[in-house]
Formats: sequence, C-alpha cells, structure tokens
Amino acid sequence: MNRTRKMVAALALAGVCAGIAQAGGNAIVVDGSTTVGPIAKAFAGYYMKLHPDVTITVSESGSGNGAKSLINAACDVATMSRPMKASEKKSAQDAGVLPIENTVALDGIAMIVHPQNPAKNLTIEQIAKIYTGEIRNWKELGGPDQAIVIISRDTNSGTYETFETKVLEGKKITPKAEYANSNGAIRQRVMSTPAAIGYVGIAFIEGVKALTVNDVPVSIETVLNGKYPIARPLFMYTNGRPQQGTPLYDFINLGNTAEGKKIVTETGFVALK
Amino acid sequence: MTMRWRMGALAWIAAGGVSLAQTAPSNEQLVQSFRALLSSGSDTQAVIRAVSDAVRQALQQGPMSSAQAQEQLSAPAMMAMPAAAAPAITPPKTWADSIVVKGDVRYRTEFRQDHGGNNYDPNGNAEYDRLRVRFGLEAQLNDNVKAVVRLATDSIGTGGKGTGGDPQSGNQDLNNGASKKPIFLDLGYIDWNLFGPANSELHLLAGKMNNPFITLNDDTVWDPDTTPEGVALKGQLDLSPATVYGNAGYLIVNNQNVVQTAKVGGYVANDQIILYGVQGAVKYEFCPEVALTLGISDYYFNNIKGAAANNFDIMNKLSATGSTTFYGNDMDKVPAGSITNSCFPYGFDVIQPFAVLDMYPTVCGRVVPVSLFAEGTRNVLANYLSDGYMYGLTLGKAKNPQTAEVGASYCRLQRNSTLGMWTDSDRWGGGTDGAGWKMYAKYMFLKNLMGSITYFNDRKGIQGAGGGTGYDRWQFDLTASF
Repeated sequence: MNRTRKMVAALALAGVCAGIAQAGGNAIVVDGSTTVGPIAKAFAGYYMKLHPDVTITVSESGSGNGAKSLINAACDVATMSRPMKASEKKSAQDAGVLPIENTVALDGIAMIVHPQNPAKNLTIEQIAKIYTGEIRNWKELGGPDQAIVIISRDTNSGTYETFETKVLEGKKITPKAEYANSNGAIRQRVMSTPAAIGYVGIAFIEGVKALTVNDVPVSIETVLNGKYPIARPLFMYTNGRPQQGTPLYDFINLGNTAEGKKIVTETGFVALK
Repeated sequence: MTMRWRMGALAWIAAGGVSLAQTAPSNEQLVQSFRALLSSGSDTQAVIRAVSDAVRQALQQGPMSSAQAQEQLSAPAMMAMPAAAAPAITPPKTWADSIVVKGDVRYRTEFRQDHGGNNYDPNGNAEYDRLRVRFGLEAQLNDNVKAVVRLATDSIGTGGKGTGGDPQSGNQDLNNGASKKPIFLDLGYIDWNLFGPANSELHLLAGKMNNPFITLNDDTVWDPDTTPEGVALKGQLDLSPATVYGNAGYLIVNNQNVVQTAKVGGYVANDQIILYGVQGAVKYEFCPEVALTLGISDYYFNNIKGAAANNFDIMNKLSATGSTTFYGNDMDKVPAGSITNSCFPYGFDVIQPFAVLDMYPTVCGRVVPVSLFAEGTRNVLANYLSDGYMYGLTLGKAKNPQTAEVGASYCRLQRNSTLGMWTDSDRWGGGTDGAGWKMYAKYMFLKNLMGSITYFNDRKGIQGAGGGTGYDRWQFDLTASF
C-alpha cells in the first residue's frame, strides 16, 4: 500500500511541476476595458519601443470580458474601468487565479451631448431621471421640445457599471435606451444625433459637448481633487504579483513612472499623483 | 490594415463631398466626427452608414453662409435636424441570447477492492467502466431571475419507494449489452436574485437545486452529486476585507412518513421529513494571498426519528426488511403489522463547524493555490456513535489548460454522525461507519478536457470487530465539459 501512495504522490508532484513550468515568456496579452484600452496601447507602444524583444498585444472587449479572460488564463493583464466584482473574484478563486489590482490612472465619466445642444449642466438626479425614463424631453430641462435620445454603454462595460452604481444607484435604465459597445461609438452617436445624451470616459470628449455635473466641469483637476461626482480609478489586474524585473512587472508599473504619467495625461486621462 | 485604409478613403471622400456643400464650421465638425469614428473602432458597415448619411444631409441642405451655419447651430435648428443612423449600436438581445447550454461527459474506469464485501476476489479487482453525462440549460429570464434545468444519467433504483435515480451519483455502469441508458431530472430550479447583481446578494432558490450550502473540497455531510429539493436562501454581504455568508434551506427528504413507532413516541403518518438547514460563515481576507473562512452549519432533519428507511430507499440498500443499518446509519427493527420495518432510532441534528485557509503563494513566477480545510460533525440527537471529522489539503487548481491539482483528505464518520444517504458515495462505498484517505491528482490537458486519478484507502464498518474491513478504490476519469 505504501507503494501505491508513493506512486500517487509522484504523479501529483509531476502534475504540479508541469503546471508551474508554464510560467514565464516575453509576450504579454492585455484584454478588457475600452476605456483603459488607449492607456494600455500607449503603454504597450512605449514599452515595446524600449524592449523590441517583448511583444504586447492589446484587445478591447470590455471590462467584464477582460475579467473573464484573466480567469480563463487567456490574458496576462485584464484592463478594467471598475473594480472586480465579488462574483468574478469567486470565479477566479475557483480557477486558481489570484486577481491583483493595480491602479494605473483616474478617469471622470463625462456626460456628453451634441455641440448644438444648449444644455450646460445636469444634476446627478436629473441624469438618473433621464436614464430611467422619467425625464423624456429636453424641454423638461429648459431646452428645446425634442425627445431625448439616450445612449448607454453595453452592460458588459465597466463604464456602464460605474455609471449604474454612481448615478443610477441600482435603478434600471429605460428600455428605450440604445446601447453602444465602446466609448468611441457613444461619442460618434452623440456627434451625429442632436438630441442625444451619452456618457464616456474623459478622454473621449473631443467633438462633443461635455456637460458640467452638479455644476462641476469634468477635468483633470476636478477628478484629482475629488469634486467631480462621477470619477473612478482605472485598473490593470494581473494573476498574482508580477516578479520584479519581468516585462509584466515593468508594464504594470508604468503608471507610477514619470514617463507613464506623461503617457496617461497625453491619452486624456488623469495620471496618478 | 485593409479595413483601416478603406475607412480612411471613405472619410476622405465624404469630407470632400461635404466641403462642396457646406461652410467651414460644419465641414470641420464632420471631419472631426469622421476622425472620431475612425478612432472608435467602429465596424466598416457603421462607418459607411454614418458617412453616407452625413453626405446626404449636406447635399440636401446645399451651400450655406456662415450666418446660416450659425443659425443651424442654434436650438430650433437642432430640433429640425433628423437623427443620423447609429454606429456600432449593440443590437437588441433575442431570447436565444439569454440561454446558456452547459454540460459534461465523464468516462470513468474504476477498480474496487472491498475486502469485506461479497464480491471480494482476493486475486483480482471488481472493475467497472462508468459514464456520467449531464446536459442542462440556464435561461436568464430577466436581470434577477434565472431558471435552470439539467438532465443526467443515473442508475435506476427500484427500492421500497418505487423507481428513481441514485441521489448520490449520476454514474451509469456500462453494462447489459450496450443497452440504452436512462436519463433523469438532475436539476430544475428557479434562482431569484432578490438584491440584483451586486457584491452583496440574496438568492431565493426553489426546486431541485445544486447544494445551496457551502461545502469544503470534501464534505462529511454532502456528496457533491447530491441535488437537494425544496426552497433555499443564499446570501452574502460584502464587508471588505470580510465577506459574510448566510444560507438556509427548507429541503424535502420525503413527503410521507409511513411509520413512527410506539418505541420512539407514537405513530404519526403523513408527516413530511424535512431538512431545515442554516449556515453562517465569515471569510476574512488578510491580504489578497491569504484568506481564512470560518463557519458553522446546523442540519436538522425533522420527523426522521422513527421513520421507516424504506420510505426513501430508492437504491434498495435495505437488503431485507429488518436490516440493522441503512447507508451506515443504525436501524431499529420494528414490527408493523405483518412486516418488520427498519426505522431510524435517532433523530438527526447535525452540527458542523468548518474552517478553510486559502493561500496563494507564487512559485517560479506562477500562483499556486493552497487550501487547508477541516470540519467536524456531530449529531446531537444521537447518543451513540455520533461524531465525525475530516481534514485535508489541496495544491494547485486544474481549471485552465495545462494546470494541475493534487489533494488529500482524511475522513472518519461514525454510524450516526450524519444521514448516510447523502454522504460521499465513493469513500468506503458510501454512507457512514467508515474512515480513510482520499488522494487525487487532476490535470487539464486542453481547454475543458481534464484527466484525473483518485485513490481511496479506507476501512468500512469501523464499529465492527477488528475495526472493520479494508476498502480500496481507484478511479481514472476523463471529463469533457461544455
């Protein structure tokens, strides 16, 4: 019987060693948030220029899909514009994945309208009423008699989840809302639709009008000082803590370097202090 | 690259067209919008649609002066402008999008040596090839409600209560000249998330469900294949870095209790035997790499004392009326008219404290999950052979391709420590009144294709003379999940 136990132990050890042997490599796969995507791409471009032997690929499938990719070991870095949920952490635990949160930048979710829209400011309460269908026409807000075209991010998006938490506080978006699968798509829809309203990351307000929220404009300053009410951190999650000196470690920590902060600012987001 | 080039060309053509028709401000705006469109990652079709709409608009309006352009930027003009087509707008979901198909197929080759069993062959092993197939659907009815249905293979039992599937297992022996195998309802329940999708949740489950209670990697009370029936609440409260779990169940064991004897307090017919289960646990995360979970469960089986076991002996484990054990539990032989029934001499109120220490050390640059777990079991309504315990460890996690997991645990259950009918059916052949080790290794060869080896080194009938008889079992599994 001792012999069989030893055999099982040996098999087990071999299995674990085989698993461990998979670690390492100079390729980094990044997947997740369309909001964090531009930062990840800029980081990747910068890092690969310095280290041509390292390959970094960046995909933008949404925060939820980024989390799934990390849990399924399909990526090394999950970019997310919201913190990982308890259910995702549980799935990660079940898969033997340890999600480690790395904050790379800050962001404000801008409420955007067509440049011709005379609206200037909305309160959080008004925004919630628009998105739940209570306010349906711009005239109810002192604007023209025009039905509001509501544009939201798709439900797999971290931007959506942040908006749902910080603005809607759990209330449901009206079924009349349209859903777009990226910040860029929302911006485009708002640019081409005079009566539209949408919400996007601070880096996506070019060509549209960003409203003040509770009389606070969305800007780097108001996000940093905490006055802008719909602000959030942006994350890159890894499976465990990357070892110092590895490309993954350097890539994840770029946001804390002077060059990384410059990249974040140039991309239109708010760099860490 | 090709798509990018096409989008660029489209933008250039559109911008040219617009410049013929409009003054500088509108033109610039449109060019900006094209740029934005290109950077948005929109698909080609969306780009074409948006560009053609913009061109059509501009041509319809004709050339305009700066004053006219300014006028168009005013609110009334805004009202008059038609909405353009929506680029990259997610299409509405259909009913098919809300349904997920799930299932698995497990092929098992098993060798058993039951040294005290009737089929014990000292020169060889009892060998079985077995199949377990499960196939189910999960339908998300709305944001908060899900309906789950799953069918599974199972052995047909024809015990005292007629025909049904084994409550502990979905295995089907490959036998009887390649006969077609029976399929049973394995799951069928409604999952209503009362608090909606959030880190703190409360679910109401109703039907035949997955075990609503937290169980360890191995468990003293529950077989992992047992799917209890009734109503349950599953809740968790996020108090980071702690999470509080609370679960409760009203689970039907049997809807009719035929015999209760004078010996245990009088005859009462037609009472349901119900498991009232409550469980509380706290998981505290000291850091991402270390978490400790402490919890306690109380499983109270109402009306089971004095109940005749043949009420739910689907698998015909009572070899004859008047058996002295049922899945390891003690039985009283009670005459009832012209027959003798085997009845539970004790009630079951099983208290089960448990602890799990999860750690995630990094070895050679890779996270290796380590879990240490232990639990105790005591049936406070039995005054004889009422204790049990289990402890063990797992290393690694076989979930993603080319990942491995190993584990070992030791379990010891006295006869009346818990309801034997629902305990792990593999350890010492199932039930209580046994002790021994389980060791396993799993390896995920490819995505959703796993191989595993499990070895049980047990003794069964440990309350018998000489501490029982040996029981060895090897299982070689190949499992494909979808």
